[in-house]
Amino acid sequence: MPLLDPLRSAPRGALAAGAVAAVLALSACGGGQADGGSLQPVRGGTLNVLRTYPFEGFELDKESLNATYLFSGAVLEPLLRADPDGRSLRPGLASSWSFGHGNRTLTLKLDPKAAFSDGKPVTAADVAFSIATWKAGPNYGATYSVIRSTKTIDDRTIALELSEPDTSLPSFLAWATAGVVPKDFGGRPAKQFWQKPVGAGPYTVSDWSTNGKVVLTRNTHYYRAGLPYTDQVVSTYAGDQNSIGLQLASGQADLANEIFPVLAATLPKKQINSTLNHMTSVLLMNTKDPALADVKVRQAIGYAIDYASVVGSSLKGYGAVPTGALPTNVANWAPPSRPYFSHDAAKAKALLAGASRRPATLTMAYPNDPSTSLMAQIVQQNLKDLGITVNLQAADAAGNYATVSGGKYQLALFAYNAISPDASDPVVYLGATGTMFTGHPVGAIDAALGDYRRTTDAKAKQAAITKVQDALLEEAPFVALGQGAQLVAQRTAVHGLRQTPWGGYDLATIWKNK
Amino acid sequence: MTAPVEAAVPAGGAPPPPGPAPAVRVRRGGRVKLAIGLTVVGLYVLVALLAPVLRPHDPLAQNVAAALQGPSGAYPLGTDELGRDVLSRLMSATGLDLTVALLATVLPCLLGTVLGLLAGYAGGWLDAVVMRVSDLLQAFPTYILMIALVFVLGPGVRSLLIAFTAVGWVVYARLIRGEVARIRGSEYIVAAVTAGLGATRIMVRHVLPNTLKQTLVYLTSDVVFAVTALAAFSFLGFGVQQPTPEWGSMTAAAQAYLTEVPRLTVLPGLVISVLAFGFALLGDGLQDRMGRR
Repeated sequence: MPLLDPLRSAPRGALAAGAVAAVLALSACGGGQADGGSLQPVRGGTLNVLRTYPFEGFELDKESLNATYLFSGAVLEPLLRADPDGRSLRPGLASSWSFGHGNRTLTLKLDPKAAFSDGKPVTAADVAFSIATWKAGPNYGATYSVIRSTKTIDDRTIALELSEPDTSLPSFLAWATAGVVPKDFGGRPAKQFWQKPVGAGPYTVSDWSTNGKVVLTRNTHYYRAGLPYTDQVVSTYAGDQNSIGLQLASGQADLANEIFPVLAATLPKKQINSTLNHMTSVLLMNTKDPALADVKVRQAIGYAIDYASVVGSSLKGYGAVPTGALPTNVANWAPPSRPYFSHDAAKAKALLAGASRRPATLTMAYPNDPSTSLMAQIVQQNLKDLGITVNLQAADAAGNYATVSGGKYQLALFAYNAISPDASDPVVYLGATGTMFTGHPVGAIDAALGDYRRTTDAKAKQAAITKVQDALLEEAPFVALGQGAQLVAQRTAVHGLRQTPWGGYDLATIWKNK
Repeated sequence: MTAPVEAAVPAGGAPPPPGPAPAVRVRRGGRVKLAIGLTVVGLYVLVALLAPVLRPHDPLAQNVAAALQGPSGAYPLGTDELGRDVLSRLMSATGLDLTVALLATVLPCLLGTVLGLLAGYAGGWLDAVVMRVSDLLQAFPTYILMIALVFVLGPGVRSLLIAFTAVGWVVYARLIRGEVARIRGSEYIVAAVTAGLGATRIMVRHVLPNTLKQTLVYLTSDVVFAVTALAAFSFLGFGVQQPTPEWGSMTAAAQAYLTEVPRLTVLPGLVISVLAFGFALLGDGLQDRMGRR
């Protein structure tokens, strides 16, 4: 279910239209910025990647961070891959897929060259075992519960029998948490397997630690001809933004993932690889708290926020004022049927005046990264103007996630995103988390999701998404503060980086000039 | 045995330049240090008292449109990332930082003094317990122990003061205990005991006043530690929370702009350094003067 990287509460900024066009144009002609060197891919070498969050390991059901998805997915490749456009799927280990029996059967054909890093072919039996493994996971298992059974057609073809029509399922087969593993973990105990897994991705695991290095080495049996370009990927954990800037400048690092907009603002524009606006920063309101139980209070807060200031100061131009509660720029996204919250101090005060209970003081939890800290102070000021004193409670990202997921907060800053090219992806997350830990399950979500899954018609899917958006606007369990881009800083010698809107990318196609 | 003065002059060498004797030079140096230290600290106290009147802007007032502006007539030291006036925030932080730093020094001093006095005067099991606990606390690196305490108690000034007190009393207790042990056998104490005065009266009226000199000197140098430690804790997110103006948290918030707007980091750092320098001179000056009497 989690479609986000839940520990991340720092939203990313968005991209101006012109910059989007420029990035797409560069990507289309080989991906990357011209640096005077060859644009023909160069094989070999080591790619040094800084990550700003810890690496959680390869155990699929325990993964929750973008930093983990990237490297885990490069070892344990899923059946399908997301196109960087964020709107479509590409073949992965499965070279084709099709629905049958009224969208109740999904048949997948495996790429004939697909093989694990130990040289053994990927078979339907491996996929069946992998699906059973995903379903057994306490965190992501429910997403695949719609798969009632699997049927092996032949060694390279498998049919998934669904308990009800679900046209969204292929998207969920592209999640990094849906990596394909060998049947019975290749005869190894599960714990031992997750420590040093064997997968069918472009890289194999040489070494890893949560807060240290992750070292990946080329999988010589990889099925996509000529890939990966780089022999080795070394990822180092670097939490300090200034250190990231220095390591890029000195050439110690080639890429830095998920950098904050405040750092991006200090680097040359040509070093910033940004996505379309997607990552959605939100102000969660704990509806179980009596002070926030009245929807008028929550709506008043929604209209009290100065969204332009939030976006301008904390996203540094890499973001936009939200047009809905759901992350944008994925397939079938649609806005609410009426305008989303905007800054309207008079309306906010009128709503608060009509509330059954007006909170005088609230506490707001937030992760103490540079972007969210700014956001917190602006929201604090906006609510002060509304007559509500907000006490700030900073914590590191992990601490903030624990506070939020435990429901031990009144207000909290958070961020969420999809991890596949489908607007229903974050909606599933909202449903699975009691509407994102606010204690206010939005009734319309389940019904809308059902409508969404049953149809293949894009307009009908968008209509379902609009219903969800409307319900989130009406019931306001949370307020979207800004929708921003994922930012990767790269040296100009690096090519082939094309991010999805949520910041995923294909490590196999990245190369750098010698 | 002392050598004749003439022997100190090398044969054929020039006689030493005329000037005051070393002790006199130290006393004069002490006076200068004391004067500079008092002036610096006095200025900070003045700023702290007058900040509400003197500061040009509300230190909390945001003006996002004017964020990260350079120094100007309207904003003499520029604005921060939310368009707040840096000068006003620095001035407003002075009162909080000074107060917290002084409390973070005085509270452990009070606790340490009481425990050291009791341990030194009573001796026996009480002395053993106090000293073993202090041994235990000193075995841990100070910062690590304080961070652990603040982590458990939660960020904020109250937690910081508890942590400073819980860790900082040890030195004061040892200082006082040593002095008490030295004084306890003095004739005037023996006379007081013989005269039938109560233990409390002897400790408070006769022992304590004679032990405070070293403590006072140490206290002034301890303020330097408190000022910098408070800034460090706020920098790490354990101290004063945003948006309250505080030098350490201002430095922490500004580190994201270190390359873009270094002034935001340098200015609070400079303010902390000058105050620490002032207290250090004050302590040195006091030591020079009191140590010669």
